[in-house]
Amino acid sequence: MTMNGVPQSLDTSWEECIALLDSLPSLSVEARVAALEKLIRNPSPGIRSRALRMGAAVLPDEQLKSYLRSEADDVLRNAGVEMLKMRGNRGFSLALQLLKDDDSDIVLQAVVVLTALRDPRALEPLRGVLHHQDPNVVQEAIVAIGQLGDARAIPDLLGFLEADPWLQMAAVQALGNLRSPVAVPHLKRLLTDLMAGPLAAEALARIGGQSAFLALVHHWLRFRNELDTETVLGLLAHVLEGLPRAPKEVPDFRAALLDLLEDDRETIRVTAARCLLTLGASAEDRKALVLVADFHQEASVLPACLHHRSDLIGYLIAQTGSQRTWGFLLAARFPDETPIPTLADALASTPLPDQFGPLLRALEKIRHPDLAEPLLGFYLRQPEEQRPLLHPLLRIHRASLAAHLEDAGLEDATRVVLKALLGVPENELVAEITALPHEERVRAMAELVGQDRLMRLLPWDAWLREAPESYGPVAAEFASKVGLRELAASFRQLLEKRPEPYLIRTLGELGDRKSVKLLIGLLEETSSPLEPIVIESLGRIGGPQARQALRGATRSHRAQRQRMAFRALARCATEEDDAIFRDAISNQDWYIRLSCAEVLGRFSRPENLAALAQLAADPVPIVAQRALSFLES
Amino acid sequence: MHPTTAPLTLEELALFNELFIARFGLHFPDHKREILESRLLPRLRANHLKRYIDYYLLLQYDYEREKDHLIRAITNNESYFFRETTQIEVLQGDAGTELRAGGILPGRLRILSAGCSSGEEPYTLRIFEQRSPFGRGEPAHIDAVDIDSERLERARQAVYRPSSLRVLTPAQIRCYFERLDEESYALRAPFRQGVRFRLGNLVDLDSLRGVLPYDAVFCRNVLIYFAEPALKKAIDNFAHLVRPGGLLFLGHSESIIGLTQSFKAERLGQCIAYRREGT
Repeated sequence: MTMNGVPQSLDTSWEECIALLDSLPSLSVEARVAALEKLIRNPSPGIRSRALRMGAAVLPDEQLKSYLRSEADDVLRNAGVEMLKMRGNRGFSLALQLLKDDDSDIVLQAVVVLTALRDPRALEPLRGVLHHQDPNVVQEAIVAIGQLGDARAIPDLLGFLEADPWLQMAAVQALGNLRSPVAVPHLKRLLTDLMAGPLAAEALARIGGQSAFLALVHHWLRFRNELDTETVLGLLAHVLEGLPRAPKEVPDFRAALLDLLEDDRETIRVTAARCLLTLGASAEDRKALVLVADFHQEASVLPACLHHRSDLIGYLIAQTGSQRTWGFLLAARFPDETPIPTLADALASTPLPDQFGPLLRALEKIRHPDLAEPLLGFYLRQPEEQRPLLHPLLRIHRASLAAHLEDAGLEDATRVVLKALLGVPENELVAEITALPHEERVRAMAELVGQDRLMRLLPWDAWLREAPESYGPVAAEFASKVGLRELAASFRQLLEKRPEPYLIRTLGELGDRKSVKLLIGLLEETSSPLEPIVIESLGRIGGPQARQALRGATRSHRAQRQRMAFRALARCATEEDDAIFRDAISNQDWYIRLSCAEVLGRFSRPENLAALAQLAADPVPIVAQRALSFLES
Repeated sequence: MHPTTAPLTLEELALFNELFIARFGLHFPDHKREILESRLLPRLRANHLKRYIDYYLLLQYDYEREKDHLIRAITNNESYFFRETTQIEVLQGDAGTELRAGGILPGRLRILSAGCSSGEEPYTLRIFEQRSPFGRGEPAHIDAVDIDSERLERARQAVYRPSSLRVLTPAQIRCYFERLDEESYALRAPFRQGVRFRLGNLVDLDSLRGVLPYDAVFCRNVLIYFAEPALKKAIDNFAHLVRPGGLLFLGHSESIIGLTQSFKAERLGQCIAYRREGT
C-alpha cells in the first residue's frame, strides 16, 4: 500500500529505501515530507543519516518546528534537532527564536542546537537563558557557553560552582573549556571535592598555564596515594607540555617522576618521561627519550615534550631513527642553537625517507659556510629524481658553494647544473650545455627543468628531431610547466608515431585543441591501457569535439572508463552538458556523483538545485560536502 | 612539498584510499593527508608529474611497473629488534608448552610473522628461542611474510642499520650481530637459520597460506593502518591461518574485540593475545 507514492509498510527493504531517497526530488512537497518521516525510522543507520541530511537540506523551518513540538513522537522530535544541527549556520536564526519559546523542552532543544553550532553570536542570548526556571535548560546553557570559548562569560558561571551538583559539574566543565586562568583559583578549591574533583582537575588541565600546573602538581604530590596516577600524571604532562618554558623546580616532583620511570605500566613510564623531558635537562634524558621514542608511532611530528629542548639537538641528531628525526625538527626550530659539526656529520650519512623532509627544513634555516661542502656531497649522493628537492637549499648556500664549483671531481653535467642554480648568466651556459655529450646533456636537462629562462634559450625543436626519445620527456615536462605551446606541433608528431603517456598528458596540459582528433583516435582503440590518461587530457583541453567524445564515454559500460569520462567532462562541461550530470546523481559510483555536484553547482538552475539537495544527503561525505558548499553559496 | 607540485586534494586522497584499500587494505585518514602527500611525492618526481591525480592515472595504466615503488612508499617499514618483547616471552612459558603440545607438528611450533618488514620481528623470535626454547622440542618453524619484495630481500640479507638495534644493549649487539662498518651490522648465522621469508598480502589469503596452519601468528603494528573492511578481511584470513587453540598477537594499541567471533581475547602474563576459537 502506498500514500502519495510513499510505501507505508515499516519493513521497507534497503533497496526500496534507496529508491525512495533517490526519487525524493521528483515527489511533491507533501510526499517528500511523508517519505522523510518514514525513512528516519528505518533501522539502517545509513538510511537514517541520509534522510536526516536530506531533511536538513530541503524541509522548511515550520516543518522542523513542528517536529520539535512532537511531544508524543520522540523520533520526530530528535530528528528535528538533528536536522537543525545539520543545517549549520542556516539553522542559527531559528534556534535563537526558539530560545524564547514558552515550552521549556523547546528551549532546551534550541540550546542543544546552539551548542552544536558554536556560533559566537549565541553568547548573549545564552547568558539570558542562565536564569531560566528549568534547571535542565540552565545546565545545557552552561555547557553551551563553555563551548563558545568566550572568557567574558566567566563571572556568569562562577556562581554555579556553589549550586546543586549537576549545575556545579556543568560549570566546572564550561570553565575548563573557556581556558582562562581567571578560573584557576576557583577550580583549585574543588580539587578535593569527591564528585567535582576529577572534573576540576581535567578543567585545570584544559586551561593550562603556570597557575594550573602548580595547582595540579601540589594536589598530586599531596594526595598521590589516593589519586589515579595514570589520569593525573597524564593531565600534568599535558599542562607541562603546553607551558611556554620549563616551570620552576617544584620540591619532590622530579623525584616522584623518577620513581615512575620504573613503573610496571608502559603508559605511566612514558608519561613520566614526557614530564621529565619537559622539565629540562637531567641525567635521565636519554632513558626518557628511549621511552618516548618507543611509544610514538609517528616520528615526523616532534613530541610536545621536546618543543623547548634546544639543548638536545646535537645529541638527537647523532642518534638514529625517530630520535634523529626529532633532532632535525628541533634544529629547524632553533637554527642558532644547532651544533654545525653534528649537522655536517649527519649530511655525510643517508637519512631514512621520513627524515629527509625534516633535514631539509633544518638546512633551510641554518646558513653556515662549514655546511657547504657536506651539503654538496649530500646533494651528489642523492638519486636524480630527488636532487631538485635540494635546489632551494643550494641557492640558500650559494655564496659558500661557489668556491667548490671548480672541484676536479665534479662531472661536467653536474657542474653546469650547479652553475645554473648558483646564478651564472644563462647565455654563458647555453654553449656549455650544447657542448656536453648527448647523454650528459639529457641528464643535465632533467635537473634544469626549473630554470625557465635558461631552458627557453635551448634549441628544443632541433633536439627533438635529433633524438626524440631522449629529449621528449624533459621537453614535455618543461613545456607543460611554463605553457610553452610552440612545442605542441613537435609533440603531436611524436604522438602520431608512438603514443607515450607523457605526450598525451602534456598535450592536455597545453590545452592543445589540434591534438583532440589524435586523442579521440586513441580512445577508440578498444581497452587501451592509456584510456584514463587520454580521457583526462580531453577534459583538460575541452571544446565541442572533446566534449562530444567524453559524453559518448560517459555512456560506456566499463565502469572505469565511465567514471573517468564523467570527471573529465566535468572539467570542461558547459550548460549543454548539465542534463547528463542531473541524470547521474544516483549513480552507484561516488566519484561520478562528485563530478555531478561539481557541474550542477556551477550552473545554478532550479532543477540543478533540486538535484544538489539530493547530493547534499549523499552517504559519502566528500560528495555531500561539495554539494552543500554549493547550496550554501 | 616541491614548489611545482600541487597539494594532494581531498578528492585525490579518496581516490587513492579506494585503490589502497582494494589492493592492500591500507587507508590514510584525512588527518594523514600530508603524510601520504610526502610519501608519494618522490614517486611524482620520479615520474615527472605535477599533480597527484596524474599519479593516480599512471597507476591505472602502469600499475604493475609502479606497484613495488608504491608499496614501499605507503607502507611503514619502521621496525626494530626486541620490540614489545613481552608477547614473545609469553611463548617461553606455559603458553609455548601448551601450543607445542596441541600443535599440528608434534613437538614443533609453527609461527608466522605477518607484515615482517625487513625481518626484525621473525629474527627476534628466533633469537629468543635460541636463548630459551619455546617449550621443549625442536626449533620452531618460523615463516615471515611482507608485501614489499625489496624489504623481504633486505630481510634475507639480514644486514641492519643501528636504528634497528636501538633498544639492544652493547653486549646483546656483540652477541647477535657482526659489525660490518659503522652503519651496518649483520645478524650472525645461527639466528638466521630456519626463518623463511615470502611475499604475502594480508588481505589476500592465497598469498599467505602455508601448507599447514600456524600455532601462533604475530601481526603487530600493521593493522592500525587498515581501513575497517580490510581489517575484517585480514582477521578472517588470520582465522584461516591459525589453528583452533592457536594464538594471534597484535600490537599493544591494536584490538579486534567485537570485530570477530573467531578469536577470543585472553590475558597471558602481561599481555593480551587472541585465542582461535573452535576445536
